[in-house]
Amino acid sequence: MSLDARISVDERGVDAALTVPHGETLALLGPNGSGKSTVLAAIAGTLRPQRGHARLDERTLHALDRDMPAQWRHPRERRIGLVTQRADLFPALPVIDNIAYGLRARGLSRGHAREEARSWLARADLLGLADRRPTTLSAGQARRVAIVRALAAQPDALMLDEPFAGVDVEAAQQLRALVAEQTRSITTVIATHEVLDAHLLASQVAVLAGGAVVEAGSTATVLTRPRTEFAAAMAGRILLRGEAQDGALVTPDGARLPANTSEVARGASALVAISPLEVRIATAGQRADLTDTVRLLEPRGDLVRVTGATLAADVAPHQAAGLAVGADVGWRVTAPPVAYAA
Amino acid sequence: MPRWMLPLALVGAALIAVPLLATLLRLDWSRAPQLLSSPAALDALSLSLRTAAAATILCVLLGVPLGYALAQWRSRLQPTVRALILAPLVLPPVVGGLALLYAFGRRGLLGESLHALGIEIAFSTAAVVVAQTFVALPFMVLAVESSVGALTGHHESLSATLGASRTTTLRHVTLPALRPALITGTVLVFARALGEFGATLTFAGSLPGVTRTLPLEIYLQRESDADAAVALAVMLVALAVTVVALAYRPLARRAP
Repeated sequence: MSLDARISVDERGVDAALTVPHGETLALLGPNGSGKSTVLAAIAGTLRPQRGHARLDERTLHALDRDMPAQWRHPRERRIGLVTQRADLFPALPVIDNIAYGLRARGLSRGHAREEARSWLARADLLGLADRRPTTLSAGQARRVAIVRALAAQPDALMLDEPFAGVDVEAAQQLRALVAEQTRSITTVIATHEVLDAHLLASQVAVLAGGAVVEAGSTATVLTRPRTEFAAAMAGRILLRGEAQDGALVTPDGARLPANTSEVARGASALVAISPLEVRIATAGQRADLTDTVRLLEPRGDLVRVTGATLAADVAPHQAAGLAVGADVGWRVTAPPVAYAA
Repeated sequence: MPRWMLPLALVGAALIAVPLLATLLRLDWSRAPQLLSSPAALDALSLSLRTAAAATILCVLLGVPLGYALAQWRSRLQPTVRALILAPLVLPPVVGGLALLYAFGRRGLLGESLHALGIEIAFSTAAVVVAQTFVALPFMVLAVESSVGALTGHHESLSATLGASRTTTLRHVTLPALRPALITGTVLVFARALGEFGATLTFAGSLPGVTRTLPLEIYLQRESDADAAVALAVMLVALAVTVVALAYRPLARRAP
């Protein structure tokens, strides 16, 4: 079912609108504190917003706008699965009964519910945990069980709040596989601050900044052709605004970056979103595409990010040797980035 | 712990331990079996255990919903109502007994209507149970209220998203989370009911085999046969200490 929601929660500064087409997965991308959890909780009905609405197809989950009588469905009537970053499993019940919980609530007998729960666990390769108590599980195992539990209740839509946060790399890997496999045909929203999750799991992206969705659309478009600094930052790109000239983008301060301008009219305002991985530092004797001043040097894994006033580059440490804040630097782009209409 | 606290702690422990020890030292071990197996003693003991058990059940049945409601009730009236409900904690039990008499006595507020229906509570075994419940209920209410207040509601919310009704949520999610408080509350309530004296004497009287519980029996025997009173007292202390030792442990040590 398709999901359509607008969530306003004043005390948390959230006023966000999003839609997810039937069966698709939307990544709700935003830094910590941007309001992702609030949006998900309001859609699931565990938090009551002040205004706005949420609908699954034609079915209203809530409608709290002033011009019509308020409608509010209790979470148990919504058929929306919710998995949070906290300890979700009921500690008093073994894993198998946690999974069977939603099935029991739907009226299945204890035996039948357990049987079905077993097959859910088997599908997720978690059958070995069936009789364990939640307190004895690792964070990653508990999260996987929580996701399977939400799925076993056969919801119409699934809300996953930072499902890969707080678990080790291997567990996150298993979780991603589980989510990718199990949510193929269910309308899903994944709140995450990791752009990787959007690339791997989501066909749609909505970027949340300061409680509002500032950009939304297909993953490929939003993440490779962002229109806002927020979306560009989430996508790990640097957004440059300027005017399209022949084979270059000219920024307001006169910097000229080589770019593929075939998509935009000459003289039109255009955008370029470039990844620091596509930027190199010009060595002595090389002609620089753009000159800049170093503002910041910071280690990023095996690389060093050299940030200038206009561009930034992720380079090997030896290439950054000799650079200091305030020094002049020449950038080269590995391939001219595509300029798109602003 | 600062060092200066230790002497105070020892004085506190002595204040409790010395009287209990003194009672034990007064016990005439050679006569004890005979004293404890007298019909009066056995009647009192059996009555005490039965009424305290009934009062405990009532306190669980009524105290859990009451504590729950009190924890979730948001109103300006809440503090007043809460203070009223917890009043038996600080009320002299005799006053409680009188209050019960004014409510359920033959000429009491509800007593007349109950009398018309053929129900007599005052001076019956039922009165003992009511008196014990009256004084013990606040212990259960307090235990439940404070631990409901400490719940985050997170698991309750998730239970609802899985389609569970409120009753299912209560049974499988909330009550298990309240388990430590329920155990504590139950033990305190039972101990309090077992030791009840003032309200029972006032509201239920002291009819042998009907309303004369162990504490009442001890008080009466003290006049006629001090040795018997001591023997019964030691038994009551042993019973109370056993119950508390078995079930009432600090929360921190109960965690797995």
